[in-house]
Amino acid sequence: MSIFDDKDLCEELNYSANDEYQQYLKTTPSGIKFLPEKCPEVSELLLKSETGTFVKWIKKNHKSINLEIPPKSQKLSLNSNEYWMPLVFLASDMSLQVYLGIVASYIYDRTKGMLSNDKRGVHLKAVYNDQKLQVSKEFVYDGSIEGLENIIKKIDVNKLMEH
Amino acid sequence: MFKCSKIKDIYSQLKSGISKVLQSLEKNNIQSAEYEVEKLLQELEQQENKLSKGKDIELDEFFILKQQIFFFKNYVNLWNKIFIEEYGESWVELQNCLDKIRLIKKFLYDSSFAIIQFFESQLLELEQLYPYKIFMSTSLIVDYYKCSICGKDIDSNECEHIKGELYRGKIACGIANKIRNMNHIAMVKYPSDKRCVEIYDNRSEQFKLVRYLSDSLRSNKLNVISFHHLKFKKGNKKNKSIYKQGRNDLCQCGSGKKFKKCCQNKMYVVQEHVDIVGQPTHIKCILA
Repeated sequence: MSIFDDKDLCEELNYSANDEYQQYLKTTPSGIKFLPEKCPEVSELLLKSETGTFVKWIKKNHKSINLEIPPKSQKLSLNSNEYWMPLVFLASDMSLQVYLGIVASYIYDRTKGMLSNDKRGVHLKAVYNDQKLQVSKEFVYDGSIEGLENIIKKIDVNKLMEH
Repeated sequence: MFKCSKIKDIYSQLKSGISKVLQSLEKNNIQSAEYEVEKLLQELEQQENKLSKGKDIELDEFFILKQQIFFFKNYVNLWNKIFIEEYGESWVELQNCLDKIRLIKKFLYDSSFAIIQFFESQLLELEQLYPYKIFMSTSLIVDYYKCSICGKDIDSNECEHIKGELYRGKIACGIANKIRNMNHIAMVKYPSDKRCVEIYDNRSEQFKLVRYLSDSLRSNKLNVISFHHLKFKKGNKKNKSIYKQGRNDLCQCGSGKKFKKCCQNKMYVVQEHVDIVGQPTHIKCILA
């Protein structure tokens, strides 16, 4: 297998920086919080360059969603043909399934005009609250747009929460 | 193709010019096609001046029309570069053409028009003749992106524009302001810009397929408009370094084994073969 082979990766992990997320859950009952992240070989935290466009798109298309945006931070701009979505915290009213649906329709809008052989990938991380187990989990996806759409179709949040 | 009557009128005025460009290319007459494109561009400029205070929808549709005419400029440049054997440069023009098609498809209310489908299909076939499969992709750390329309931080609340959208005939772009550093360069299969490639000499082996196409065009075996698709197949080719000998003779390679147990099965090698397939195409059908 070559390093350039296409492969979709989807993981659900226990979220390590739990205190920060629990604090968010206590103080914010609804919406999405966008966060800068650590990047290899860079000391400061950086926001993914897709953040601004994504935030504006949500404001335009889902006006009722409460959004928390970090103060100005530097941006990491990657020139691969992929959507590097920002790390997000999901409040208790925002299920993972709903968030993934929002990402999918954002990507659908952004990929209008794609040529028949164009391929684009998606990278996303979302931290959400597993209400049954009362633990915070991190959903990670790295793969194709089609792969993400399949996951949304197949995902059964209730089953995920049973783990 | 357009909803606004003004833009429809401009398009029908330009259509005969577009047809002349295609007719010139059908005869492989690049110089004539270049001349016709220049005339189209001049006409477009005159129309743009008249339309400067138009309605939003008129300006947005004029933007799409402009991309079409710029597409033909890139398209003629592309084939010109192939004719004059500047293959590396032709790759850049090919990507310019494909970018224009993406923009047209994005903003046109219906992208199923024959003209778009014809060029998209033809150029994607042409793309396969080039040696570029892996591309460079940069990673930059940037302070903020300045909006190409209002000049404010495009990600801030103060800027009302969304990156990639059309506003009165202008596309909102984020212009990197203060690039702090280049974090890394990655090698990727699907870059946002396919122009970031390793540079090969135009006479190099890597361009043998495009060179073959260029030879076919220059010898008029094929014309630009009739270039249709590629047929990839695998075939056996005689391995010139191995000559035939008796099955039980000692092998020519000096291994000490019999030929039948050594190099006999290497007498033919599997080779990829590409057929360039032409198909008569009526310009009227493309412009329908």
